[in-house]
Amino acid sequence: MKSNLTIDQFATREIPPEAARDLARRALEDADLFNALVARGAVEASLKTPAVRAALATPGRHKQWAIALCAVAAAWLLVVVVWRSVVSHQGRQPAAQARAIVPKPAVLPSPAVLPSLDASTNRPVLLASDLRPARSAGAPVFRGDSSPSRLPQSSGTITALDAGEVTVNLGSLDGLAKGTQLGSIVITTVFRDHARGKVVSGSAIHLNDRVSVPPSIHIAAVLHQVDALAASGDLNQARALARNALSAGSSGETRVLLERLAALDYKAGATDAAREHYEAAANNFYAPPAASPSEQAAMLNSLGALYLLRGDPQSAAKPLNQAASQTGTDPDLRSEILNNLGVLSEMNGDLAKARDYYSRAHAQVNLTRLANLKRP
Amino acid sequence: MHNRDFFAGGRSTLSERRDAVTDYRRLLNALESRARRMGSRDPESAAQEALKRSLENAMSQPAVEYYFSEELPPDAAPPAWPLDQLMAWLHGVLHFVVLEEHNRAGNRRELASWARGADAQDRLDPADPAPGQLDELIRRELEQIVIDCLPALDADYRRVLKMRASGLKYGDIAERLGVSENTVATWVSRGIRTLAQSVRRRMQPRKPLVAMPEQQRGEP
Repeated sequence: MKSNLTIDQFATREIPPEAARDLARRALEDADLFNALVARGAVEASLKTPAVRAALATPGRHKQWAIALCAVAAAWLLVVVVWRSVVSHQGRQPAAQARAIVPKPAVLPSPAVLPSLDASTNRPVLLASDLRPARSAGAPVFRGDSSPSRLPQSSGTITALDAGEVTVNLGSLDGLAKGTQLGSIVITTVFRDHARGKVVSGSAIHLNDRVSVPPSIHIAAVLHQVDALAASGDLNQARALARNALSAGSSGETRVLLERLAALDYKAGATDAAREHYEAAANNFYAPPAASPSEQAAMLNSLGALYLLRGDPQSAAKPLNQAASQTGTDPDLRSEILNNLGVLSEMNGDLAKARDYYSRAHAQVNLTRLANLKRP
Repeated sequence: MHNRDFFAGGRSTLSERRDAVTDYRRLLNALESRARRMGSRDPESAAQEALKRSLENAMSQPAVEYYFSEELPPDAAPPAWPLDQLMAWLHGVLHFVVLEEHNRAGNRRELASWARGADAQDRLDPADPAPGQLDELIRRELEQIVIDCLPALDADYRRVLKMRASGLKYGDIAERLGVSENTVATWVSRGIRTLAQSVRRRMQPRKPLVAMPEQQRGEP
């Protein structure tokens, strides 16, 4: 124990030369101490040599084994994912899907160069507008101080009935707009927390009858309020609201909610949850209504950027390449994807490829500017 | 076999040799027991040879004198080599000397039938490498041991040691990895310690280098 202590002190060069002389003489009587000093000296001297530097740069056997095991695990995971997606039914809860499909992450390696979303750091900068930092709770908000009086409701009741015109206790807060159809009622006038509408001829409507808001409209209302809460800096309440609404529609309808929740998770520092929700949303791309190519590209770009921020370039490659393969995306989004592929290449040590991606990302943005320049 | 006279053939006078033996008695004892563990047939000579070569080397000599001489002059300046570097050197020299000893013995057994001429000793005992060459041999030997042990190192430690080895300062590494300088210092320290433990295990001989049959142990 005493030898170890001295070795550690010696290793940090904390002991003066006279003490090192005492240590040297003790090492002559203590073979273990002698051996420890020899090993330490061999390492310290060898670390400076080009051969050892080169050997350090190549992955070790353990890592290669780990990569091989990961490949086998990924293959198994793929089989499980495909099987589960075949047998899963439409009405299943998205959050439950996320828990079922997504495995718990292994210990993630920290890469040599961790990227950042912040352009002011001296690190590779990722572009993912969804993941940009949220405003702090104390930041000024250019909207009314009064918070919404209540949460969006997915159903309400008929509160008044008069000569074919009804009043319901659902309003713009719940996503209603002029023309919205609630069963046999068509909304004609909308207020904040109630609305009036006409009954389609021939329908029997009674006081206190229940009316339901279509899931897509309810989810849009929830999203609106989630955005408002996030904009005011209340991330936790925004996440809670989004999470609670995950059961409000089919997996295709709630996909956008999962995406928004994932971005909020990341901004709140819950990166594991963010990854789970992004992956669950990606699993639902083709559940009706299917995601458009632009929506897919944006979400895959965010997922890839999240992997890179977590120091996991291996996992980032697939979503980013998939995002890049989507056609019809707008130039700014395409530029973000190409930039992030550049960061991925840089993290993998392929600087030539990284430069190529960065220049393509730059050119993509300039294309839009050039097109505008030529217009007048 | 090595010459049993300390510094025989060198420039040292008799009094210098006696002083050296006296001055480094404890070091010689330690090297002798180490040489025995390495399988030397003549550990005393191997220890003397290792010390002789260390005192011939311009870099190791001041370090040997500073750390191991019995009486250090009060105005002695600390050497350029830290203690661990000197110990690694001493181990390397001793290992090389013992290997040489085994090679000589092996050659003698194989060539005993024809190597009986007056020049046999020259042919069978090639000239010792110059100090610079010996330095290079030892460096390569230690380097190879360290390289062999690298796969046992955790990927995070490899990464941070690689950055350190490429000359990056702790602050630069900290910025790249997004951690504090203290964390980098801890990782570097733990990485070196882990690697050193692995190197130490690797260096410990499982058995003597050569187990010579008793009847072959005499001089040819």
